[in-house]
Amino acid sequence: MTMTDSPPATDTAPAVSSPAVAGLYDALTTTDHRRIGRLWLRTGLVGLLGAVVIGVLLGIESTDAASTDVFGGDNAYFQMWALYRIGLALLVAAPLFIGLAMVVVPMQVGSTNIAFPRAALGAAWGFMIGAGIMVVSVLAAGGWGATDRATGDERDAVALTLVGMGLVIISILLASMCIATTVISLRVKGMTLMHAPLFAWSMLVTAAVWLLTLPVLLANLVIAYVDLHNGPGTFGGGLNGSVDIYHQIAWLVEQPQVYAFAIPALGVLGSVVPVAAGVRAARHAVSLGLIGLFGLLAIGAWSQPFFQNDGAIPHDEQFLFIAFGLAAVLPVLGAMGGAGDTMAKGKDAIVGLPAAHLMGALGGGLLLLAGVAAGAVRVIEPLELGGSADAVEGIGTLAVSGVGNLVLFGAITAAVGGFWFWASKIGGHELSPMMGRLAIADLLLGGVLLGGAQVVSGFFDTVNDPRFVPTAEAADALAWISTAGAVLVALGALGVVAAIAGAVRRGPAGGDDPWGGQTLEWSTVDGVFTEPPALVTSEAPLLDRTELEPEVDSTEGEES
Amino acid sequence: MTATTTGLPSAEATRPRTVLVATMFGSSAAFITFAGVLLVYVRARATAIEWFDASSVELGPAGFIFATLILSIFTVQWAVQAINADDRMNAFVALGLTGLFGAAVFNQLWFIINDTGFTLNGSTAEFLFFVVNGTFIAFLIAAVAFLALTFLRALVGQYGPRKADGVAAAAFFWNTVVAMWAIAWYVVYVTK
Amino acid sequence: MFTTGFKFFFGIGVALVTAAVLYGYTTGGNWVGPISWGWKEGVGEHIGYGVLMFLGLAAMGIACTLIFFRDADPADQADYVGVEDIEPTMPVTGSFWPVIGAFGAGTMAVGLVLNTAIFITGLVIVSLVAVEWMMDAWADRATGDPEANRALRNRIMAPIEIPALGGAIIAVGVLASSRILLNASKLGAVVIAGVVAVIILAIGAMAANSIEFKINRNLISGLAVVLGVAILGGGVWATVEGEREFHEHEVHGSDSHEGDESHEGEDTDGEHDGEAEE
Repeated sequence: MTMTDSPPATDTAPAVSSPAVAGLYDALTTTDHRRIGRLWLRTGLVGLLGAVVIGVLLGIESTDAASTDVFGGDNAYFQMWALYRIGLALLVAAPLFIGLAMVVVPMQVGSTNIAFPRAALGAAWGFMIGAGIMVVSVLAAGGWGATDRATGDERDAVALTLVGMGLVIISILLASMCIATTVISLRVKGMTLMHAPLFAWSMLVTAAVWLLTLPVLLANLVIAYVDLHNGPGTFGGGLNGSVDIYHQIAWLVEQPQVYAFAIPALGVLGSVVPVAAGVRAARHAVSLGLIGLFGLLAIGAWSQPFFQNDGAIPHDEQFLFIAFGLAAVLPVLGAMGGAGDTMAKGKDAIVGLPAAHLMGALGGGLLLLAGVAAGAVRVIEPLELGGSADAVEGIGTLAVSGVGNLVLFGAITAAVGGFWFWASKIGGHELSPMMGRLAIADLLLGGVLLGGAQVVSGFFDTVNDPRFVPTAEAADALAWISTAGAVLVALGALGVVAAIAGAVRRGPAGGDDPWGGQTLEWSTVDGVFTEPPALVTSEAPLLDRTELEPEVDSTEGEES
Repeated sequence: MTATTTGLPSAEATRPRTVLVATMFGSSAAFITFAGVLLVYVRARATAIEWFDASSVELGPAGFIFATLILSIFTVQWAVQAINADDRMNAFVALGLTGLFGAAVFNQLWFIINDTGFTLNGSTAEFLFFVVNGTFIAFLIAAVAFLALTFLRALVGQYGPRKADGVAAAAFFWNTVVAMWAIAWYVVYVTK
Repeated sequence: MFTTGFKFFFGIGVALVTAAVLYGYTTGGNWVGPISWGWKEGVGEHIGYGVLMFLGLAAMGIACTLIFFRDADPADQADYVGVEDIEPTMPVTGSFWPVIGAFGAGTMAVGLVLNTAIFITGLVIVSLVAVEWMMDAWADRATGDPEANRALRNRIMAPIEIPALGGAIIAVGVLASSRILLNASKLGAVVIAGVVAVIILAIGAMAANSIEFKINRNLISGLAVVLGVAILGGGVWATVEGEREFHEHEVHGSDSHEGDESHEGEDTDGEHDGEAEE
């Protein structure tokens, strides 16, 4: 039995209090991990709102692409479609999880701050500036290469999109470095990596996967940019750049790499479920292993269809791609099974309507499972469900986007569950449980409809490119279903923002440990450790203490 | 205001591995970025019908660069060793020498690029030659800047025995850049 | 024994290298190619094989570093320094440098595309920030007294940073606003120049007053951010849009009037400025 020692009474360290001044000045200069995390979270929420609006517009356009022109031309339609896909991963899922991690991970490992808080702040602002450049340049007729290579003088705008995206990636890498270093180097005494809480571990795995794979994307961007700027045009440069630029980087939002943005969802699941069930999660080491395995299978920088040799086996028929696609189901299924087992053990604690955070964690996990399962089905060659649209310029079917949307909305739903779970740590607020349930239900249902319909449409050979009008009769109906999903997702996102805005208006409330948490973040007061965490030798030190309380009482004299 | 620090409490010890762990991750990311560019070069060469003539890129200067960088590994580790032994003068000399080697490498690489007569928009081969070498130059400049900042920080009194994490971090990144060239040298210049 | 971090990263490394070899064989690699890095015979698809191999090696490198540090466990770190226990983090003072650095990086990114001068300005900002940042990091740990640390830092850096930062801000402002002014109509340019001048004057006055009257720092920060975003964003937008059209001054019989000083003197509408720009 692992246990937590009580801290010696004489060894009380002064609390590290945050500066009193808040507001913009503080946002520009703060080195407090909670405030930096909130910057990332706000950016992610703004990104989410923007993405869902674009999603609805794309849905409207897709229902009748031949006669509807929401964006003012084919090129603009394509660029917004690309922005949606890339933005959902880079500008929504990534900052939401980085924000959560900036707030929660240091507390979970018993640190008073994130490693390199100034770098974390710089990364947050760099991300915002990069994202701003990227989005504005896409709106200014830029994007990832003009579809017709000659619509207006867009060369600079295309180049700006690439450098903006580069800045976003560098900022994410910098933030990842801070998070990974925090988990490795700033753990409290006694807490080995084997005892790291699951969310902290999942963020270490995520950061490692991002640090290993996103530099490959950076290399793609460097080549595309230089080619566009003054190259021979082999890599999408020349004139205003061709969509070859997009095809070089599309692997980022396709399986398996898109899974890298959902790894923390398993961490949220592993953190929320045991607390909601009020029991100790069994087999912590197995959970660590499953998350690590999912991280390995989310490494997708090697799968770059653009660089396939002519006449080679199509990338989604290659052995390794199929193996990764099938294997990715196992860790998610295992994590969900573990969550189910934990809930079964603690079923007495879960009565009535499930809490919003539990809904978010489980719902996110289910969406993620649906995504990886769809990804697995897509790669089973004899079923031929991947469609034959690969023949069209090497582009896959809409199932590729569908898998991506299921996975990314799974990640976003889990992140929202994390908001509700750690709200008292993020901003000291209590978020409305009912609003949370509604918003998460919207996100969940919307995600299923949006991504699911695209997966099914892909199985009818709809091409994963808005410039190709679907040929199957069912595609129209599926586009309507997908659009309905986009609307639901938008409502869910609005609900999340409304709930957060309402909580901020009401002011801090809810206490420091509203759920009876098991990990160290729940022992902080207003997000600050009032005393040094005791020697930690387990993944659930607070639960250890609770379980040992009668024993502590009986030996009170000795303890003191 | 007096600037004396006599009698003031010394700062608490910091976790010595923090900077090194972060540098390890950063260096890995930098290495992979370079590898990503290099792989596109390799792939383009393997599938190209025409490539630039082997004689247009001389091996000699590239070998000199490699030799210079090998020497710099010794000088940068000398700096780490010296700061660990609290021998600041030796540390400054070693850091300065390493920076000088960096400048020499930059100079030699510039010569190579000019000597080839390649143009950026000439052909895919020439373009990728530029991009590989340009990316290396970018990381070389970053490594020299890292060394310079470390030098400055040592100059104002930081680092010492068992507090050499900053210098060790700069050395770690420097060695990563040397590893980049080792691969580029073989792939781009030896095998051509 | 092997640490958890080592096991995780080394496991990933081994798996990726194995995957690289498998990938090589299944995408057309020959017998020795995938296991010899292509030294003899082909490796199959180059990008996939190479990425997997390099990522595997990088993960193994991280694993080896981690086991050397014993996963940077607190007890090992304390043991290395020779103390019983080390706090996870030290207090770090708030600083404007990260946001200025990010702004500099953004300026570099925009300059890379639009204008070399903007790029160099961004580079100068980032370089200055690197030095300042480093000095802040040094000052935080100079002594155990935060006040003394701050005084030490200011004593060294203030004489350098105030003129340098002012110069950088002016350079960016001038360059970016010139793009806006060149894009706007002539009357618009006059109006914009006037408004910007008034805003700068107002911010300067407020900043000066804040020393004595403690005007809200958030307000000043907000105005500075708005102005910065407006100049940078406007500069980007204006450059993407392009300069306004400058009409060539109509010169009758240009051959005969070449170098005619009196003719140039008649140009009162400023069009010659445009020509000079062009």
